[in-house]
Amino acid sequence: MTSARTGPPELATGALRSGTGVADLFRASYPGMVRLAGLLGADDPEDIAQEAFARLMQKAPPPDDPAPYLRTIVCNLTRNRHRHLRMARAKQGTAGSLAAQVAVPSSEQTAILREDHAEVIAALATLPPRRREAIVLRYWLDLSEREIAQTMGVPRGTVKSHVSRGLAALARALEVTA
Amino acid sequence: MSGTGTHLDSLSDRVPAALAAHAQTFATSPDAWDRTRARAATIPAGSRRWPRGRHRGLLTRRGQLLMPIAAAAAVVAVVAAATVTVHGLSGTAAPRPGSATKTGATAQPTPDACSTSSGPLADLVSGQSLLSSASLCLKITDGTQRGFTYFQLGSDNPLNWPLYVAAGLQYCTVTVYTSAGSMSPATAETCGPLPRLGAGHLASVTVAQPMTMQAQPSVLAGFAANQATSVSAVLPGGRTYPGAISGGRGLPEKAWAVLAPDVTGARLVFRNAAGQEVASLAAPAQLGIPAVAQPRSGGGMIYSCHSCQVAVNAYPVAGHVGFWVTGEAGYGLISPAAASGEPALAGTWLELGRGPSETVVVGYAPKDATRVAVRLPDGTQYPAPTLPAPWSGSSVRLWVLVVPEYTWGDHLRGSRSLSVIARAYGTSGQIGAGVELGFPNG
Repeated sequence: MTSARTGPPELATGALRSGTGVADLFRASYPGMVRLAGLLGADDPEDIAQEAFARLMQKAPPPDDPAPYLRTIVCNLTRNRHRHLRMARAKQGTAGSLAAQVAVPSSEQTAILREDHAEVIAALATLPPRRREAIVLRYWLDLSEREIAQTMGVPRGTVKSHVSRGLAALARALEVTA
Repeated sequence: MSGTGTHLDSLSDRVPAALAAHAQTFATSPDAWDRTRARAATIPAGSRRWPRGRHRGLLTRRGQLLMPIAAAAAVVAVVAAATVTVHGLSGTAAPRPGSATKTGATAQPTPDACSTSSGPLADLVSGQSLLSSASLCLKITDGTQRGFTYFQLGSDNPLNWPLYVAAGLQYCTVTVYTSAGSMSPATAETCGPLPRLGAGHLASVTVAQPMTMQAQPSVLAGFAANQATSVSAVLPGGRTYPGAISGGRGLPEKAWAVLAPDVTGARLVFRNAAGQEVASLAAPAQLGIPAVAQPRSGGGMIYSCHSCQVAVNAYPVAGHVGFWVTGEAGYGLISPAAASGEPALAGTWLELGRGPSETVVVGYAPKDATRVAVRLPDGTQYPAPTLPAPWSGSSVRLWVLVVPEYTWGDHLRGSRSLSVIARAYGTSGQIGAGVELGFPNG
């Protein structure tokens, strides 16, 4: 992969322990967490990011490295939110396009992307949540397999599987739309 | 991008670029820091999970933010809301007009009726929770934090495999944090069996616990004879906190609940429609909800995943079948119906925590069943052979199905039905009707 690292800035290790770093940490990392939630398909990325930081601020003792903690919380909350929306919509009888409703970016967001980017994002939205997570963590945050495994709480082999199958699914989807 | 097709090599360049571009479209609010601080202030310090040690037998049903078991039972029950007739008990019960009123209280536990068909609790219920029938729902407002207490008839919902607890009447609490005007996923949800009112008893209190992680307010709940029409907690100083009491279809007696900032030395007073006291009970300081622990013997392992050090054990539990997942995400699920009754086919999804990406479904089937087939919404079917139960005298056989690399979105896409159906087959064909399994964790 040749693209430059595009994820949020790294969080300062021990920033929370200093007692003075929370606001700085928030300032530096909040936009990245909002974007992570957004890329994972959250319908309200700011709500997810704020909840993640709120939990971080109350975590005792604070984690040595808040970055993995925040990433995990964002992933879990977004996954929960997907499930919530999926089931709520199922109850409302809108079963026909659940996956699309949960994950597809708004037309407004899509419209301001280049066409080829929009195609990728639309295809990404059709992936199962964990494959999407793996792809985003790998290709946006540029995390290693070990870091992704830590964030997702799965073995490294599973990460490898999610990434490869996710890419294959993206390739199939983009071939169809190409 | 080559015109000859999309290849993985080009994707590894194309995906990061698209993600980077898309990421820039998510804006942040200028008041995000203030809102986050306000939200953090509503969270009890330490953990948002109910500590098992503190509340003996009071077990987290969901809200396991970092524990990825994600409550298959809860998800299953969500489907119940969509596919099973909701019982529609009498819903909510506001404090009765003319009942005792709170006087001089400094805390803000405001008992109030809340609806399970609309509003925040309905949102929670429809999305993630287990509720299929409720007779009583109380809402408290304590600053920016709101909590809900409700009763449900867990045994009425065949999809609701209770987590950790015995089947039967369930007492559940849900704490929802609603700061900043938006509801985050539920943070604490607990359920436990609620014993019926004993013969000849006019009222009972079976629940006494902090409503939230904070010490106050406390919630007291139980049952009362049908003649009781109001309930209140009377503190030693005379402060009175009215509660709510209600009967409901399927409930043997009236369910009641009271919230009070401090129940030390309090008495619970039950009155009839004429205002006459019909019963009075001392309020216990704290009662845990009895839970069913994993049996130490009498069952055995039916599935194991060596790579993830997780196993599933099955046991007979008072005529029901219980499945316990070992390992980090350890928990148990108990069949809502007795295994000897109808239907003789049942199953539930299990989440194995840090285990493999596969999803496991376990269940039981009639004694003469040789296999079970699970049909997903898109028509995909997975077969599973039945196994002898690892205990003697069993009237059912067990089955375990590993659904490889579950792709729920794929299976839902284009599907008209949201049903996941299990069917049992014997040597001469299908046995009985298929049963709904609900959904796994997504």
